This record gives sequence, structure tokens and C-alpha cells, in this order.
Amino acid sequence: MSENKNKKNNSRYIRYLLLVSAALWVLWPISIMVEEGFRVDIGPLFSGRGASFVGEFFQGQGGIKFSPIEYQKALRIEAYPRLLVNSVIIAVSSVLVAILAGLPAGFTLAMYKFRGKAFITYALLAMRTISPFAVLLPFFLIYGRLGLFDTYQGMAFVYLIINLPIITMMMRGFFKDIPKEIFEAAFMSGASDSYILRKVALPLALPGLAAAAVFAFVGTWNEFFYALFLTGAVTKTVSRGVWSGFSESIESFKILEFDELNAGGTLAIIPAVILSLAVQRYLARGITLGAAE
Amino acid sequence: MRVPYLFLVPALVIIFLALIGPVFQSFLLSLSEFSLVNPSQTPVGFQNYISLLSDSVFWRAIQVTLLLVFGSVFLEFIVGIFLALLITSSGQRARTWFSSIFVIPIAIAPIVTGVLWSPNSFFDDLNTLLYYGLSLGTYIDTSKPFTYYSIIVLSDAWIWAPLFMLVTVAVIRSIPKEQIEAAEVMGASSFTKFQKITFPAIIASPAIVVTLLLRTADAFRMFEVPYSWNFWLGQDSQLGAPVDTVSVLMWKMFSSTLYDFPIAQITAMAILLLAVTLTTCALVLRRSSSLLD
Amino acid sequence: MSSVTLKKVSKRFTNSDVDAVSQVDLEIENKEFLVILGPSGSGKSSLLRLIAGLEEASNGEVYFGNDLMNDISPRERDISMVFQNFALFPNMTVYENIAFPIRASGKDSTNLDSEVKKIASMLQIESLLDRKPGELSGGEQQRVSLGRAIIKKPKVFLMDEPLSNLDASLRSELRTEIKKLHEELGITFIYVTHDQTEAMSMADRIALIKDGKLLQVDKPDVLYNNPNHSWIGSFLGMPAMNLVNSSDLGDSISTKKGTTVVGIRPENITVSSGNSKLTGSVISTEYLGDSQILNVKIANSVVKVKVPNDSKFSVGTDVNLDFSDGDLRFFSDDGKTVR
Repeated sequence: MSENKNKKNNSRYIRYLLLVSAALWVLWPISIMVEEGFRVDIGPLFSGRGASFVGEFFQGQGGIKFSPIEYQKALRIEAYPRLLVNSVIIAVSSVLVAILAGLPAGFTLAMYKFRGKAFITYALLAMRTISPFAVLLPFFLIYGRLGLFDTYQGMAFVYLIINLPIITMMMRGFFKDIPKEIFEAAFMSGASDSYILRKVALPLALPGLAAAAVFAFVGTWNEFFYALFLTGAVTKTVSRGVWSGFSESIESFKILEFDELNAGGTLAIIPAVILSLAVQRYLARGITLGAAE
Repeated sequence: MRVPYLFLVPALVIIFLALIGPVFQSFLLSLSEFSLVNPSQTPVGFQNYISLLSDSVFWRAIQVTLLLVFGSVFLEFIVGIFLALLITSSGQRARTWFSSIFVIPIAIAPIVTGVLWSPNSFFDDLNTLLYYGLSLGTYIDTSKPFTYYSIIVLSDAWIWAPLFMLVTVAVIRSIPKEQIEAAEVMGASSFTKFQKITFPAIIASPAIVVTLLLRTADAFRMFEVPYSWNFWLGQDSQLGAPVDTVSVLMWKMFSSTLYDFPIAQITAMAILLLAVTLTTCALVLRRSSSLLD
Repeated sequence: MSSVTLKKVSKRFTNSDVDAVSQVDLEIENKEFLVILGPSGSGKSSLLRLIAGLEEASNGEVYFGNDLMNDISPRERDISMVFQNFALFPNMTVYENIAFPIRASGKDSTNLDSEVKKIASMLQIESLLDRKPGELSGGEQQRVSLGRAIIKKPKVFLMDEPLSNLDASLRSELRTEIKKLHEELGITFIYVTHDQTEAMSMADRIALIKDGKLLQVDKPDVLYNNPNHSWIGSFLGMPAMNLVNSSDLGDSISTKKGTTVVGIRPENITVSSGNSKLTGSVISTEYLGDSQILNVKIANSVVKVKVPNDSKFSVGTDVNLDFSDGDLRFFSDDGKTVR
């Protein structure tokens, strides 16, 4: 009996050890970024090309001090607040448009069987999965012609590629989660589709709508590719801004401002992490558009 | 029942403007000779595809992409199952805390992940620890191809293993409790239970298959992490560098359009990549039992 | 107020190779209370949903009165439906739930308030009007859902196992009330259930369905006493009709030509000391409270006999069974009644 108990205890310790190691694997790189943001040093101790930058940390001669200066710099010099505002404006307006279009579409996909349903579902899946390069050039040319380059409207529209499939398919799932008899009762009461959507479906799926909107917002916040090509000085977003602080410095042969990059990265991920944790129950539905259910 | 087709109109308009239209134009561009400097389009048939398919730089990028795709999807699948097993076998409180920690990487912008796992952040720290802290006199040389391919695979798995964890946890939860209890009554060991009940259920689950498919499609367009490695390795101006995935190659070609690069070749490459996307999406739609209900 | 007529109605779901509802002909009279009775998976709910318009018929026609309904959406069919899981709107109060059909269809709502209150008092839920469905018991929820269904005075009132989620005492209480409701409203009721007690106690006529096919549509007593199929005999009644191979009965009983199976209800058999048509030995007894059942072995068959609860029979003893020939029912090979 006691031997059995020991065995059980041992396996519990092993399990906790594994859990903690896994947590370490997740958190270590993040914590290094956060911590490096607080560091001012003469350069990386080790660079990618080997020991060319051997620091003097362990030789005890210093060269590193901890200070919030990089964070302050990121917030000031990198115009982080501006990036933040840009990201919020673009993401919020894009998500709102996606809700206006995706809510009725998601409702119809959840409620009805009709010809063309497979086509729409397939198109939304393709939209989510497509390589940006397959649409980038037309966007580039048309935006150039219409003057939408580096504008909020232009970016909000381009991010519908991310947000429309998310909102439509997630809402479809949330509507599907409601017992279908509730809708059938409403249909037989003589209610129109828009009445049912407004008075029955939406109130019941409101928490879901909030989750879908937050998930879409984070997706837009984190997006880098379209931002790299279609934003400029005016609408530069957080994820683009964090990076370009670095890459532009390479191009102009400045010294690598790695600590600044780390500070900026930390600031960029904080809202995304908090929001994602708030909707973590729906992450899988959001990423797979409900296909993995 | 009468389908409210009007409800689909806004979504359809967006699908046509943001997806089908641009894709169609990309396809037309890929059949012509075109550059930004000289924007007149001359039809050249499949010439762009032919020259692409006979270009060793393109094939090299394909190889790199395939290596990274299968490496990372396989790794995140395995790690995801491992995490799911850890999570489902823990108590309520540990489960809540650790699954919240494990999903954090999904929330982090991929470009920031490129920074997190860079030689100058994580490996700078790790190497300092290995070389000086533990006085091992050795360090991880991130400039070696095997090492940096592994790191890219690792960082992609770092982001996406939690997705497999989430899906797998749902699958494990859906296994009838009686099955496991019956096995326990019959004296099955944990390993036997995993081998005979849990693992077959995971493998047979359409949710897992669909997640694998979507992740594969996503990995094919993998951009941010290999893109950042171009900078860490100082290869950003070299066409066909060792970490050039198809997407990174397209970015390099695009950036050099300033020098009158045959831009239509990029769209040809994008269209080829699109074929992968469309096929995978069709498979997802076919395998997902619930998406068209 | 309308009759409902089904003509050769079939439904086959996609991804299925059998008809869920197959070639159903059914005429439901105006103001009738028709119960569709069948075991689970028999297609009874599908049949109701076809009448409602929630499913489209693969074949055949549905008429309300003389109007073809096939292309009319459930919205315009002027029907109400009550569901097994109540299907109330959880975000609305009881009042709003009951008022919903009037508000949603944009009908004249001048008397809405008094109408809602009248219905609420009829269903004894006046005191609950401000509550949300989540705060109500199952029985109360189903009363609300009845209220929501009757406020718009539909032509046809459909019910899909409305009592199946309730416990036994509530069920019999609501049974009486639904029956009363039918009399007060004077509209056509179509009621789906798998529970024969419900069917027997409420129906004007019962439509018995199995494997998507209508077997018999008749008044409850006709269905019980003169089933036109041996399966109906074995489905109705507790315990069910005895079905005995005629070869096990020997020559003591005269059967009609073509009979292979003879049926008799357990309550129509008596244990007699004198006259006997059959003799067998008791193999077990089941005490039912108000009565008891003897299982009597006769040749290769076991016959159930309903006897008073105070009679004593010990296992193994031989008993003489008597019955009147008029209670015998004769079935052929394919289960059909031999007339």
C-alpha cells in the first residue's frame, strides 16, 4: 500500500517537473526579452556568429547596467504611442466592418442550408489561409492608383482578409451553439430573419461576439506582412514599428540597438497577451475557424 | 425555408474585392511581363512559370520551405500532444494556470517571436550561461545551418504547439469516461491506456487532422521568423540564401523591384503557393464534419 | 383552424440511404387532436417537422385545408410549435417570451398586455411574468412555452414530445391541461410522443409510425383492440399482446386461414379451475402492484396472463387458461392481420 502511494507521489512529482519545464520553455525566451529591455550593455555577449562579442559580465568588469531607459526610449523616440494609436484605429475599424458584414453572414451560414454555402465557407477558409503575396501586388497597384497607400481606410480594408473569416466563422459557431429549437420557435412565431438576429441570436451570442472581436483584434495587432508593404510614416502599426526600428538601423549602418528592440517588443506583446488570455477558451475556434470541432 | 441572401451580400462583396478580384489579377499578372518601372503588360503565356521552374533559387526555396514546414508541423504536433497529456492529467488548479501559460506564444506577434529566439536574445543568454555560468567552455553556434534550421523549427513549434494542445485536450475530454474507467478496472497501466485508448482517439479525430492540414497550409506561407533570420545571419541582400522560404524569397524579389525586377515572376510564385493553399482548404472542408452543417 | 392533409410524403436526409419518412398519407381533421406515436428513430419527429415546414419534403405534398404548403415557409404557415426542450428565449422574461410572436410578426398589439395576462392566468403563471426562463422549473417553462404558442392563435398547433423532459407527476398534470387547452382553443393539435400513455389518454386518433411508415391511424381503443399489424399489438399495452405461433397452440383453437401467429391481450386470459382451452406451467410471476403477471409456458411459447394481485401461484404448477374466442387476433407471416 505505502509502496503504491510512493509510486503515485513519484509520478506526481515527475508530472509537476515536466509541467514546470514546459512552462520554462514557454516563458524563458519571453522573460529574456523583457529583461534585456531593461539592460544597457556594450553589445550582446554572444552574437549569432559565435563568440565575437564576448562580453565582460562574468569577468566582473561590468559593461551592463539595468535601467528602464530603453523602455522610456521606446515610448518616446520610437513614437510608440503613435504606433499604438495607429494599431488601435486600424484594428478597431477593420473589426467593426468585419462585424457588420460577418454577423449576418455567420447567422445565415449557421441557420440555413443553401446552394453556394460550400463556396462561401471555402472562400473564407482560403481567405484565412492564403499567402499574402497572392493578393499583394494588385493591392499595391490599386492602392497606388486610389491613393489608399499608407491610409487608415486602406489598412482597415486590407485587414478584412484576416478579420472577415474570423468574425463570420466564429459567429457561425456561436450561433450553432444555441439550441436550434430556439430559432425554430422564433421562425414559427413569424419573426423575420433580421428580427431574430437582433432580438434572439445576437443577445444570446453577445459574449461570443466579444470573444470573436477580441480575437480578430489581436490578429490584426500582430500582423506584420501587410503592414510591412502597405503602411508608411502615417499608419505604421506596432508590429511593424517594433521591427523597423531595428531593420532601418541596419540599412543606415547604425549600431544594432538590440535593447531598444527588446523593449519595444515587450511593449508590443503586452496588450496582445492580456487580450488573448481573456479569450483563451476560443483560441482554437478562432485559429481553425471552427473547423477543428 | 427562404434563405436571406441579402445577409450574405456584404461578406460576398468583401470576398470579391479583397480575395477573388486580387487573386484573379495576380493570375493575369503572372501571365505577363510586367514591372513597376515599366508598368505596361505584355502577355507572355506561361513564360514566367517556366523560367521560375527552371530557376535553382526557386527550387532551393521550395526545399527550405518543405524542410521547415514538415519539421515544425511534426514537432508542434508531438509537443502539443505531450502538453495536452500533462494538462489533462493534472488537477484543476494546475490545469488552469499552466494552460494559460502555455497558450501565451499564440498571442505573440510572429515578428516578435523572431526577435525572442534570435542569437542576440535567447541564445546570447543561453550561451553566456553555458560558456561562463556553467563553465562548459562550449556554446551553441547559431551560424551553423543545422543549428539555425533547428531554431526556426523550434520557434515555430513554440508558437503553435499550444494550438495542438488545445485541440488535443478537447479530443481527450470527449473520450467517454467509462472507457478509461473500464481500462483502469481491468488493471491497465497509464501507458497501456495511452496506447490503446487515448492515442488512437487523438489520431482518429477529424479535429486533429484538420488542425494538421491548416497548420501545414499556414507553414507554407511562413514568413516572419525566417525573415528575421535573414537579418540575424546577415543574408538579407542575398537572393536564395539558406533561410529563404518561398515567402522570404518573394519578399526579396519584391524589395529589389526598385531595380526593375520582373515582378510578374513573384506573382507566378504566389499562384503556385496558392495551389497548395486551395488544395489544403478543400481537404479541410472535406474532413471537417461540422463546417457545412 | 384547418385540416392537414399529407399526400405520399417522403423525406430522405442527405447522407442517408433510407427514407426517414416514407410515403405517408394522412388526413387530419379540423380541430382534431392527433397523436403521432412511435418508438425512437421511427421518423415521428421528422413527420412533424415536415408539417411545420422545418424540413422540406423530398416527395409528396402537404396541405393545410386546400392550400398546398410545400413552398410556404414555416413563418407563413400560421402554426405554433412546442418543443421537448421548451426552446424559450433565455434572454427574455416570461412576459416577453409570451408576447414574442405578436411583437415579432408585427401584428396588431393593442390588446397585447391583456392578452398576455389572460394566457398567463389560464396557464397559472401570472406570478412568473417578470422572471427569466432560467429561474423556472421544467413544468413552469413548458407552461410558458405553451403560452407563447397559443398567443398568436395558430391554425395548427404542433407539439414535439412536450412532456418528455418532465418528471412523472408533472407529466400527468400537464396532460390534463393540454387536453383542456385543446377543447378551449378549438384548433387542430398534432402531438408527437413515444409514450403510449400520453397517446392513449389524449388523442382523438393515434397515427402509429414505425421505420418512417404509417402502420395504422385510428381511435385509441380501435388501435388497442384491433391492431392491423402484430407489431402494434406488441408495441401497445403493458404488458404487450401475447403473440404465439399457431403451431404451439395445437388443435384446441380454430384459427382463420393463413394465420401463423395468434395474438391475445394478457388481461383477456383468465386462470380457470374448470373450463380450459390451454394448459401450461407457471415459469415466473411479476408483481405489478395493482395486478400481477404470470408467465406461462405453452409448448415453445411463453404467454403472459394478467391476474388479480392477491392470487397465489407458485412457480412450476400447471394452470388452465381460458379466454373468449372473440379476443383472439390472427396475424399472417408478414405481420398483417388476417380478417
